[in-house]
Formats: sequence, C-alpha cells, structure tokens
Amino acid sequence: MRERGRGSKDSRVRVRTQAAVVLLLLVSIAILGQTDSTAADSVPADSAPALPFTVVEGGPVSIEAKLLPGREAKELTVGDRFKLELEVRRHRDVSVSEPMPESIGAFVVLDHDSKTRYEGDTIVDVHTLEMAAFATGELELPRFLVAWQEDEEMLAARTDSIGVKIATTLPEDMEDIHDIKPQIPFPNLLPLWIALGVVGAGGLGLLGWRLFRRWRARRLEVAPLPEPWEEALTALEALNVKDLLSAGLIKRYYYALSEILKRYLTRRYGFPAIDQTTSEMVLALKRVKVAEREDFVSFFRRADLVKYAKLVPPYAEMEMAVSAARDLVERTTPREEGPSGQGVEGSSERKGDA
Amino acid sequence: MEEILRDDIKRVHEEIERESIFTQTISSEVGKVIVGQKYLVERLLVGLLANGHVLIEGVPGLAKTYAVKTLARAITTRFQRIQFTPDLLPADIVGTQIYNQRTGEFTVQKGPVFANLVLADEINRAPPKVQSALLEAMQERQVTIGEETFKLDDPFLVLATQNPIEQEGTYPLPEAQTDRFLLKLKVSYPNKEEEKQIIERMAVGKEPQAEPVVQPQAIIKARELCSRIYVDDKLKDYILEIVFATRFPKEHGLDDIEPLLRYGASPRASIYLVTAARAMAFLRRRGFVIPEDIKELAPDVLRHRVILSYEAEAEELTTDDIVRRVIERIEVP
Repeated sequence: MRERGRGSKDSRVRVRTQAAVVLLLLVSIAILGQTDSTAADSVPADSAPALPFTVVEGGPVSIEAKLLPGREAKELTVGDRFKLELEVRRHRDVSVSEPMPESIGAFVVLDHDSKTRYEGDTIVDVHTLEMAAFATGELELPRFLVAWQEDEEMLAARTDSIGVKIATTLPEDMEDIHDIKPQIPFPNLLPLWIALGVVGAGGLGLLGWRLFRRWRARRLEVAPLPEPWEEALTALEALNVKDLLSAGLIKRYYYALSEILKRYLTRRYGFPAIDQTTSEMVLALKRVKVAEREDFVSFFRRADLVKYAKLVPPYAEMEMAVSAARDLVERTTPREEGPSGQGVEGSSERKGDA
Repeated sequence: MEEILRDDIKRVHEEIERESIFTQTISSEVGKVIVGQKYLVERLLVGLLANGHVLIEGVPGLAKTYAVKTLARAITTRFQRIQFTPDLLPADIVGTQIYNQRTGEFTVQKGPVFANLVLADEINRAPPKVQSALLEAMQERQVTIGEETFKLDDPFLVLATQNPIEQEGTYPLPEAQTDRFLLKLKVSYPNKEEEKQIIERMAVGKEPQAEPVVQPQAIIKARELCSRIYVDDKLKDYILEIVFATRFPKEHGLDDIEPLLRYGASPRASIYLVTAARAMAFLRRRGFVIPEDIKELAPDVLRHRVILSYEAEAEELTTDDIVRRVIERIEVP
C-alpha cells in the first residue's frame, strides 16, 4: 500500500513536472521571440513585457548570478566574450524551467553549459552562459528567471541585476565608423556610341561612294571589246602571211588562222570552240544553225592536216587561206539594219551576238 | 590539188589504209553476234592494237563476256575464260608443278593464262593474291612456275570484267593494279532500238556465231604500224596538259576541281593515252593522230587513274565527271 501510495505521488509529481516544463518551454519561446526582435534595438530591461508568473523571494527555488572572474566589467569591449554563472538552488521535489532572461537587450548568449550537483535534498544547477554585448556604455546584464509551478500558480525566482561597462573598440580620435561609399552612377555612353556609329557609317558610306565612283570612272575608261567580226578581221589583217610562209612557219600560220576563227566562233555564237575539236565544232555549228557550217568545217579539217599531219599545201592555197578565213568571217557578220528596220545577218540563220 | 604529205607519214598512212581493213572485218563479224555496243567493240580493238589490257565494268546482262568471247572467236587465237571466284588459287591461273610417279619428276601444268586472249570474268570476286598473280603476268608478260619462267605468247591480252553492284564479298582492285589496265570501259544499257534487235535475234532460237576472220600475225603487224603513227608535238603537249591538269588542277585554271581530286593520273596515263590514240587513229585509218582521238579516249584511260577526294565522294561525283570537266576545259591545240 505504501509503495502504491508513493508510486502515485511520484506519478503526480511527474505529470506536474511535465506540464510545467511544457508551459515553461512555451513561455521561453515567446520570450526568446521577443528577445530576438528587441536585441538589436537594445531595449532596456525596464521595458520588458509583463511575465506570466509571479516573482517571489525566499521560496523553494533561488537563483543567483555572478560574472565569472577573469573579466572585470570595466574591461569589457564590444564583442568581448564573458561568462555569467547562474546558480539555481531548489528542493529536489521541485522542477524548474531553464533560466531565461527577462529581456536579452544588447546581449547575446553564445554558449551554454549546465552542471548539476546535489547537496542533500537540494539540487544545485550551475548554468554557465558565454555572452557578449554589442552596444557600448554602462549596461545592465539581463535578469534571469527560473520558474516553477506551485498549486496551479506559476512562480519564479529572479537574479539581481549586474551592471557592466562595455567600452568601444574604436580609436579615441574616431567618432564613428564611416558608412560605405555611396553608389557611383555609371556614365551612360549609349548616345555617344550612337553618335560615333552614325559618324562612322557616314564616313564609310562616303568612302564607299568615292571608291565606287572611281571604279566606275575607271571602268568607263576601259575600251569596250570590239565586235567579234571586227576583232577577227583585225587579227587576220595583222597576220604577216608573207613573212610566215617565207620563213617556212606553215604550221604556226595555220595554228594562228585556226585560233582566230575559233575565237571568232566562240564570241560570235557562244559555244567554246577554243576548247573543241573539229568534230565537236561540226556538231556545235549544226546546233546554232550556221549556214556556212560546211565551209568552216572544211577549213578546219584542212588546217588539221597541216597542224597534225605535217601537210604542206601548195603555196597559192596557203596564201589564199587567210582570204578564205576572212571570207568566212564576212559572210557570217551581221549586216546593218535595212530600211525596213529588220536586221540582216550574212547568210547565217542565227541573229545577234551570242 | 597538189599537196605534200611528208613521206614518212604518207607511207604509214597508205599502209594503214591497206592493213586496217581487218579491223572492219572483225567489227562486222562481231556485229553479227553483238547488237550495238559499238563503243565496247571499238575499245576492245584499241586494246588489241595498243597491246594494253582492258577492264570492263558494267551491270550484269550487258554482253560484256559475250562481246569478249565473240571478239576472241573472230581472231584465230587461243582464248581462255577464267571465272574468278573467292576460292580461286594463283595456281589455278598460272599453273603448277605436278609430280609424275612414273618418271619420278615434276612436270609443269600450265594454267589458263597461257593463251592469247584471257577473259578474267568478275575479277573482283577473287582474293588479292589471285588478282596479283594475274596482274603480274599482265605486267611482265611472263609466268614463273617453280624455278622455270615461261614467256607468254604474243598477242597476250587480258580482258577483265567486273560488276559495279553486288559488292558484298568482293575484293576491289587496288588503284596500283587498275593502273596496269590500258582502258577501263563503262558499258551501259543498249538503247531501245538495239534491244529490239537483240530480242528479234534471240527469238530465232539459234545463237549466231562469229567465225575466225583474222590471224594473230595481222594484229602484230598492225601494232607495229600503230607505233609508227605520227603524233605531233602539240598533241603530246595536249596530252600532258590533260594529265597534269588532273595532278595540279589549280595551275591549269581548274580551281574548282582542286578540292575534288586526291591523286592525279600517273605517267602511265600519258604513255597509254599516246598509245591508245595511235590505235584509234589506226582504226580510223589515219597515219597521224588528231585531237579527236585523244579527247575520245581520255575518259577511258583516265577514269581508273584519278582518285577522288572525300569532298567529291560526298558530292556523289564520279571520276568520269571530273575527267570530263578537265577535258572540256583544256584548250585543244
């Protein structure tokens, strides 16, 4: 029975403890939330919001805060780490929350370490907080609370306030940290580029126009090619027949005659006579319907014999060859337009220059 | 009209007029059997007269083999046909030594290559070592069996055929070996009229046969005459221009052809083009060569001697296309 009674008491204490812990956690979260939002603003401890529990003195729980030695309050500067020890003494039947600051202000808790020791029925929790301050001047360390529940009421014990002096790290002659330099406006060069582009394009256009005019002027200077028949007749005229024949350069003479006539046919009728054999020229002349085809062919066949078979025709025939070639050109030369306005072209069936 | 043809040319010209009649006889005899294929028959005669081997390419059924057989029949000469197959051995062509048990000695068994006209049918179906055996005989005109070397009869002409399709399981002739052929002919389909004649001729039932009308001596004499046919220096230059244009197209104003050619024609091309042009002049009963002879034969002499670049292959151009472009753009003297 006794055991059962003790067991039920224990379970009641455990339930109460669990409820208290949950409640305290919620309170802690609420306070820490406020703390986060106010830390940067260095809200004074007096302006801390009203706590949902009653602060009592001399209860079953006590909390005492002290700065650990090694750091005198006056020596502290902004960002210096210092240690605050919170000693919570309580009866072993009492469950308490973790120590929580009323308002953290300009301080931050960087690290936290807890140790527990037992002194008879008293449990001593020693919390060592590593803290730093990010404001200067004479500040008060936040007061810490530990809460517990007693008869449906939330009670709390609180530390005394401890004053600290946080010195600045700036040199004495420096009043404050200068702000970063303001943004330098980037110069807008687009209008300049557009202007340069327009000028450049204009310059290139002008240069192109001048070059074109020069090229056109030079082109106009080039004498137009003479008509094919004119060119052929001039070339035949220039052929020094007597000299060639007297020097025995018969082959060269016939090569020259063939070349003149082939060039004439190429320009006159538009087929590549220069690159063709006599047989190919026969077909080409047939295709372009030249009435003098047979005469051309027999001339070239005769020339072929001289060129490729070392034929030496009679002197009179050789002398007459240039006249025969001239005759062929003249017969295929387009005639001037007649009074009726219709062009007459030798005896060829094809009109106009190819 | 009085005219002077130089004595030497005139003499050759007259001799050719007399001696070249047999070519017409052969042509008409072959014509009794083969319809059309004038190009093929004429080129085979060029090969015969120029003493150069001929490679014939064409799809099956174009009477390639039949034309060669008929030509061989028209000449009183020994003819052998070798069907090239993947399992053919060099000894099947050149011959071998056989051990005679009775005498206890090795005797030579000559192969089918010992003939005047050899038809190597589907030459690309045999492996390279067999092709090499034949091509060696073609080049050296002699065959070595064991320790004995045998000179091949004159005339000795190899007419090889190959099929451009069904390339699976074939051994294409390497460029170095095709170079030994004087001409590579591309045989095309007969036209409608010719094919109609073929149908009518075959409908009779009995295949017409060519009769032997020419003795080998006539061919040998004709060859001697061919070698005397006059080729003017300007025409030799023309041949060199064509061949060099395949090697250095840019220097001949053929800039567009430059990237299409990997290798141009070998010096054999120039030599063979002169020889073939002489044979063509003989067939046309002339004692001198004219540009037509060269221009007509140039594709057959050059098509297997120029090697196209990848660019040309990518553009699906053939050697014929390139050779045609070269020939068309080289100035005729």
